[in-house]
Amino acid sequence: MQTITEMMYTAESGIRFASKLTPKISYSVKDDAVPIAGSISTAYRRLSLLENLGLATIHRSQFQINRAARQPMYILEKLVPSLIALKNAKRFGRKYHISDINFVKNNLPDGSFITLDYRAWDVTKFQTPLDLYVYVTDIEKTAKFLKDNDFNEGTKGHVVLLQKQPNIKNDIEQVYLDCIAKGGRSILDAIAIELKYGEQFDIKGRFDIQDILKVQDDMQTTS
Amino acid sequence: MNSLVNEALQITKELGDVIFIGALATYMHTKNARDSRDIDFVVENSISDEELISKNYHKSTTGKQPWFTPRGFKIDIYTRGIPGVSFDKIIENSKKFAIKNKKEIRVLGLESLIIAKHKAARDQDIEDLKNIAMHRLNQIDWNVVQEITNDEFMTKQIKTDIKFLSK
Repeated sequence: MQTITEMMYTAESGIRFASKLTPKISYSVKDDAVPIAGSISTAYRRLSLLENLGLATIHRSQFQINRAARQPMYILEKLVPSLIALKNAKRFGRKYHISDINFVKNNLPDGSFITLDYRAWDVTKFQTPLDLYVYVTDIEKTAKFLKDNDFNEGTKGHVVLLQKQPNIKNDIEQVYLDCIAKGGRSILDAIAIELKYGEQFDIKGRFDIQDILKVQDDMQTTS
Repeated sequence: MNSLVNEALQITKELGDVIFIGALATYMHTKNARDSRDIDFVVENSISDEELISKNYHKSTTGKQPWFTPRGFKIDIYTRGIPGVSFDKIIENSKKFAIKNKKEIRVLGLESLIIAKHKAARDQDIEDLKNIAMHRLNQIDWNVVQEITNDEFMTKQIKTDIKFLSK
């Protein structure tokens, strides 16, 4: 099994490639990747490296880059466990309703750890939660438990299982790193967490100044 | 999100036929969204500070001095177009949603919402676009998108991105 340093070393050419792409929502392999990579085969090789780390999603001749790839290397290295956990996540739904989340919250396996939406809401009260992301020790066993309780695995459910990482030292910092790795609205959660708990962190992400100002303003203003 | 929808009903009752944009619009179109408990809306006719105060709305003394509803929700009031969508098109393509007891709120149209989110393209906008793509792809009227953007290249780019995000 590769160490994080080895994984980063392997993916380095992919990360350098990603940093040269102009920010866009989705890219064309032919029009956007080939001019940077030099050839179609190199482009797919670079994308495959990124995909392995959960930093790219490829579908036919189009791809998307996780904006976490734009974090400096020393931060990206810290994000790798979260990126891989998110890449291998399993999503479940039963009634596709808050009742699904309540059921799982009431039946959390021993040693599980809630992260992202619900944990960020607990600690910041900044952004209402939508999906329940739970780190579990044995993802297959928990998946079976959910299926035995009429949950289906798919893309639209609100319960997401993540493989628990062995060495979570600082709970809040882990949630913070997960938020940066996931991107999307979770970036706002990461900023809110940093504003409240940043002094406890060994490492800090790089965010857009407009997003920081928005979160700062929303958190400071009281009616 | 239900508390935000109830608040939107109250705002509509107090301020008239406003058009809700932002997270509330995403929620009404997808029934699936996160929010930071602030409400953004466009008004057809501007509302004076005096009128807001007379209806118990109040201004914060901190930050950018935003307005708050009588129930304490932060609001942003727009009196012009939003990025990518002109004021006239916001009005023309808005959509009414029935809430309860025959009450309704007016929300930014699906196509206008997509264009605005695509234009902003921040992390949170991309997540909202993915949400829309996964839940409403087949309801998007691409002729309306073209009509609003008036730009074939941009319409094609939005269509490509939305279809990719729906996968």
